[in-house]
Amino acid sequence: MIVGNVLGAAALGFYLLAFNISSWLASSVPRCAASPWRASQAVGEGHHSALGRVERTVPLLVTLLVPICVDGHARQTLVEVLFGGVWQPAATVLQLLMILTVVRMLTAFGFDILAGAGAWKSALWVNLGWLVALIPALWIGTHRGGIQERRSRM
Amino acid sequence: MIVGLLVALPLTGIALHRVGVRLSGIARRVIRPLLAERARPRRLRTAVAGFTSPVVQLVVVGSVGFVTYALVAVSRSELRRWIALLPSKKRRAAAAESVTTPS
Repeated sequence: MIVGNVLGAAALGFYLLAFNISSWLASSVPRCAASPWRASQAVGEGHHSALGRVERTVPLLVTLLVPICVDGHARQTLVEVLFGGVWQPAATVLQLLMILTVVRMLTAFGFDILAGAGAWKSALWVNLGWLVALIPALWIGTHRGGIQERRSRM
Repeated sequence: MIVGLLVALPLTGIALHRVGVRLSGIARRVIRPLLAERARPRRLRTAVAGFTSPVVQLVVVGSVGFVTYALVAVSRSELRRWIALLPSKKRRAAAAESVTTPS
C-alpha cells in the first residue's frame, strides 16, 4: 500500500515481482524447518531434547539460505530467464527482499518454537514490536533512498 | 530489511533465550557459513560469460558456486549432526505408536 501510493504503478509492478520471487523460498522451506520441533514434540522428546534439536536446525537453515540470498548474479539471471530483460529493475529490489526473506524465515521459525514452548506472550510481543517499527520504517525507506532511488534510475 | 535485522531478529533472539535456546551455540555455528559465502568463485562469472544462454549460465554458476560454498561452509562434524536430524526408523516408529496408542 505504502509503496504503491508513493512510487506509482510501474515501480509497484517491479516491487511486487521481486516480492513474489523472494516469497518462493519462504513458502517452501519453513514447513521443513519447523518439522524438527514438531517431530520432537510428537514423539514425546523432552523439552531440552527439543531445544537441542532447534539449536542444530537453525545453523542448517542459515547454511542453506545464505548462498541463495546473497548471489546477485544468479538473481539477475533468474529474473532475465523467467520474466525477460524488461523486468531487470526487479532484481535490484530483490537483493534487499531476499535478505528480508531470510529474516522472516528465521523469525517464523522462532515463532514456531515459542508457540511450541507455550510462550505465546513472547511471540505476540515480537510480532507487535516488528509491526510498530515496520510502518514508519517502510514509509521513510520509500521516501528516502532505497526504492525511490531505484525508480529514479529506471 | 533494517527493521527485520535490528528489531525482529533481536526480539526473537531474546524471546528464544527466555525459553531456553542457547543462542551462543547457534551464533558460533552460523559464522562459518556466513564467511564461506565469500569463498565462492567470483571469476566463474566471467568464465561463463562465453555461454550465450542465460539458463546455462544460471545452472553452471549456481551449481559450481553452491558446491564450492558447501565444501567450505559445512564441516564434517556439522554434516554428521544434520544427518542425525533426519527422521530415523526408530523415531518414526515411536511417532506412529504415539498416534495409534489411545491416551
